[in-house]
Amino acid sequence: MNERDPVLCRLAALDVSEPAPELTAQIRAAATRRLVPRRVHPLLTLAVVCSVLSYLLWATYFASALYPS
Amino acid sequence: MAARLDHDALTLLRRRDPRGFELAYGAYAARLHGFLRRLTGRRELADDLLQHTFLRLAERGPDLEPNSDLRAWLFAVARNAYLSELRSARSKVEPTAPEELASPSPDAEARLLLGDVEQALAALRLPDREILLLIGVEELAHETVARLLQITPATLRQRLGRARSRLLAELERTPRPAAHRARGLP
Repeated sequence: MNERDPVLCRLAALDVSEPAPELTAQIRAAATRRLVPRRVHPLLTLAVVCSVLSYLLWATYFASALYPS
Repeated sequence: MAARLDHDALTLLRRRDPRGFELAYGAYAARLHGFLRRLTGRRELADDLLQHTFLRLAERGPDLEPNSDLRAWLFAVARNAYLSELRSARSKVEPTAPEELASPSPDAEARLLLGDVEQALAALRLPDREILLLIGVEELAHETVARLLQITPATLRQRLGRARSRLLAELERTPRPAAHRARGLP
């Protein structure tokens, strides 16, 4: 039907519409941010691990002080 | 060819490789933008919806199967985004003054003739316009469009026939440009 119908043939001849280069650049940048996970600095990871361990140690110490044997 | 491209793009996207996105964007952005401009009649809205559609691809692409029909998926996302936009309070009114949609073409006469089609398309109701855009302009397979619009192939054929008749009626109603009249063109 698409090949023979003159109305659909006229529609198929319509031009495509290129998006503006600025829009394309914006979309590409945003898509890359979503696709590629942001790298976390190793020192930041170390800081988070240290703070969690410190909190656990403090919590253990605090809890043991509440119930002295 | 398109299936191969879709497969390559989706395989890369599943690895979160931006080259997969580039492949998909290069292949479908212009077509999708044209579809959205004609569907909405507003360039700014078409830009927003294009961005929404491709960002959705960046988010969901890694979960899509490599043998998915990427083109149909993109058009479905774009269409649904427009329908949501229409439903929302931000955009309740259908465009009344469509922009000039044809891109600059070296052949001025052909541009004028295509301009008639653009005007007639813009004057149609949304259900007629979208079916003509998907089948006539984008040349998507009837089964794909039926799935996309969530209707049966028989209903699609009926709706396509009606939309085609309405487009013809609009084309007959559209005043011919002065340049055509002067040259005795239809």
